This record gives sequence, C-alpha cells and structure tokens, in this order.
Amino acid sequence: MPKLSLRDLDVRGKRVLVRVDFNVPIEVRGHKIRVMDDTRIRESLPTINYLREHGAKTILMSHFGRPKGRPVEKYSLRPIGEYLHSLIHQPVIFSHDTIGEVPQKIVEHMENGDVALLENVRFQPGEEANDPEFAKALAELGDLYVNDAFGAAHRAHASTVGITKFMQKSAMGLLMEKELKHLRDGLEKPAKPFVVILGGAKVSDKIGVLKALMEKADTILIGGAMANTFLKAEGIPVGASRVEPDKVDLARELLDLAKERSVKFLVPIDVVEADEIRAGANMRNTSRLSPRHGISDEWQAVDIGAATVALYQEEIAKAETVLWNGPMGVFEIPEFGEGTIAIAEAMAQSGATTIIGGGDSVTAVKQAGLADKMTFISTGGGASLELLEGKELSGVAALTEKE
Amino acid sequence: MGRVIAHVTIRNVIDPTKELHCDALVDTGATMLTLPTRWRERLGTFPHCQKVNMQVATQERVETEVCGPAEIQIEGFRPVMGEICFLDMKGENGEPEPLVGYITLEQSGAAVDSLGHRLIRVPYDLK
Repeated sequence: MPKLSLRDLDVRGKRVLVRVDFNVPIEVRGHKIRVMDDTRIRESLPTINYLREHGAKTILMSHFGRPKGRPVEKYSLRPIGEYLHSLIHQPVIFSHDTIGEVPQKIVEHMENGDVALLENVRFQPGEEANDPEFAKALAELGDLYVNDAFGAAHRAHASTVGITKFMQKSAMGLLMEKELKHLRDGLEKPAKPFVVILGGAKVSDKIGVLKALMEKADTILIGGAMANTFLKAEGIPVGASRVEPDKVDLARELLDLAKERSVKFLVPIDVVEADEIRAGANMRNTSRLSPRHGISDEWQAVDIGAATVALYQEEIAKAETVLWNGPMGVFEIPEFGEGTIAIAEAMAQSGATTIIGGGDSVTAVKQAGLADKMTFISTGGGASLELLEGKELSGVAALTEKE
Repeated sequence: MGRVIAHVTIRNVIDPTKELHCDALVDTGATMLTLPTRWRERLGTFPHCQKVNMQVATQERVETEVCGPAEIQIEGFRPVMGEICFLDMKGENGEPEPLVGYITLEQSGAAVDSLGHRLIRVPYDLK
C-alpha cells in the first residue's frame, strides 16, 4: 500500500515535525565548525522549503553522531542549525532541549514559515530504545509528522517509528520519496544488462544484498576487502589480506548460487598488494591470480589491479543499469584509490542509468568530482542496503497509508 | 549610514515575569542581540547558557555568555524566539550600548532603511 506523501498533507498553519538526517561530517577548526560534506542537509532543503512555502511551522529533528543517550557538546546540532540558516537565508530557531518546556515555548511562538531545530534526538536515552514516553513527548510538539531521514529509516527509533503512533498523519518527505523511487521502484525491473558492483570490507554485511540482487543482476563485480574472502574460497592465497575466515564457505555458496542463476560473478583477477596499509608503503600489482600465484605472504590486497579494472570497465560499458555500493580498495589512502576512482570514471562515461547506493562509494564519487555525472546518489548507507535486500524500512512501514 | 536605534523588549520564556526594555543600536555586523553582562540578573535564570568565545568589533576575542531561549521583540515587529549574548560592554560615556544583530533582524523580518534611518518590514525570501 503506498504511503502518504508530504504533498498529500495540508500543512498551512500546522506544526510539522520533520525527521531529517543531519548526521554530517564536521571538522572543528579553532573556534569554527566546518561542515565537510553538506549533501544530507542540502538534500533535505526541498522538503524544508516546501513547508516554508506552504506556510507550515517546521520543527526539524535529527540525530548527530553517537552520543549514547546523553548530551555531549561536540554532538550538538546547534552549529548545523547555523549552517542551515546560511542555506535557507532565514534564521533557524534552535532549541537546546529536544523535549519539554523549552521546545514547547519555542513552538508556541512560531509563526507560519518559521523553522526550528531541536537538539540531537540521541541526547535522549529514549531515542534508540524507541521509548514510547519519549516518542510521545516529541509528538506533542507537532500536528503532523514527516520522515525525510532516509539514512535513518532502517532504524526503529523513537523519532523514526515510535512517534508515528502518536500522530494523526505521518508522511514521507520529498527526499524519502526520491530515494524510494530510485532504489526501490527504479531497480524493481532495471534496464538490462544490469551490472552490480559491490565492495567494502565485509562479505557478512552484504550477504542479503548479494542474494537479493542475484535475482535481478546479469553481472556482479566484487572488490574491496570482501573480495579476499571470495579469493580464498577459490583457493587463491591471500597473504596477510583481511579475510573473514568463517565466511569462506558462505562465499563458496554464493559463487555456486551465481552459477546456478547464470549470473556472471566476477572477483578480482589481479590486485594491488602492499606491505602495510599506510601512505608511502611498498606496493605492486600482482600477476594474474590463481591458486598457484596469489597475494604474497605478509602482503595484503589494498586495491583491485590493472587487469581487473580493465575487465570491470568492459562490463560497465556494456550495462544499461549500474548499481554501486562499496569501494574497491582502501581508497582513503590515495595510492590505493585508483581502482575505486577508475570504477567511478567508467560509470560516469557509461551512458547507463548509474546509481550509487550510499556509504563510502558516495565519498569516492565526490572525491573524483563525478557526482553530477551519476543518475542518482543515495544519502543512506545501511538504509539503501536494506532496501536493496528487499526489506521494508521500519521508518517507511510506520507511515500512514494513502487512502 | 548613520545610527539606527530600535526599542527592544526581552522576556525570559520560562519565567515571563522577568523582562526588560531597552534602546539598542542596530548593528548588522553583530550576530545576535547583545546586552551588557550586568543586566543579566534582571532576566532571571535561563535554561541554557553557554560560554562562547567571540570576536568583537575591535578584533579582540572575548569570552561571552549566550543564553536562551528568550522572547525578543523589536518595537513594531513580531516577537521572536532567540538567544542573547551577554558581554562586558564598555560604552563611549561609560554607558553600555546594547546591539541588535542580524539574526534577530532576520527573524523579525526587519531590514535597515539606511536613508530613513529606521527599520522596515521585509517579506521572507524563499531562495
């Protein structure tokens, strides 16, 4: 059943509680706080501006960092409120308390078009515990609820799920709609060939996604440290590379499953190996990997190799739809980031529908200056993975159904 | 541009019996409503006060205290919720001069009419 959208609500003069995801990376420089990547804030602007334009009293709430249920100054949303002020050209009234008398008084004084921001919901122990009392206290501040925090929609917390029980109408915001359109609806019947690129550290994080995507994908390309577990499953020596020993059998099963489903499942045919994971370490491209020629003892895989890059580029060039989640190597260290950047460039040049499924691959695409060349970049890491697995996100399931 | 003075009423939201009225200099270079520290007691206790290191017009960095929430009303404009910066002020004649900063002006929907030496109402701009 489709869920209510912000556009279905009559918001004029109403107090609209909006769950946003302002969990952005910041840097403290002297007395100033700099937002390092404001994508999540900017992506919530369509919802915020829609509400301002339609005369709502917008009350924003978000989490920020992991303060573990108590106030921690460095995780205060106050600087984020100031940053939002600079983006919307209107002061954002900041409430130092998340619930209680202070936000109540602030909301009482709001006029149509005003925007307020509550202090970090995770300063309250009731948030992550999905405590009904806390959810109710939040709900008392608004007449309507809008969830626009796609990045937090897979978590059943008080401000994403619990609150909906105390609101008459709960709807999805414009960002949430956009994410669902691309990641859920758009990938339901993707244009073929459909190429999926999965990277990152652990196979265990991607089991569900791999299984679900094998139903739809024509080709799956594997990179990152998770590739090592597949290499080991194929009997290839992995040296000192990071492997999940307890997942080797599972990797074997996944390789068999791909064969069974006629999915082209490619793991690196060569890698860049280094004697240490640090900038300036000794590094070299391995020869073609096989059970007799693997990664050297004491060395570890840090990136996909040149032959793998060429092979993956070829597959991407043939695709009509490409979905990417997870870097191909330790891309935070520039010397080990070439494979990841090459994948981003291949996607940008492909002419296919290109979807970046959140997480570190988003950072890589931005670092490569290719963000505007992609069809869609998700703001959620964990949430996009759960959605790709075919799971319903708790924060979406809790919203009011359309009549 | 000349000086623009506005009459301002400030009220402690949690304890509305505590209020004060003053004339303040409109200073678009200042961030928020800035009052002398010695007036702080007249506004009672605020639920939130934070020491903040700020740069003042002389380029010096000084320790200030930012407290709130407070209801601030510039005469002729709607009351808004905001914060007050308390600062040890040294006025020209020993008299401190409160300042209305740009955040308070923006919230109130007020802009400086530099020819008329007054504040005028401006609609919100949805950029």
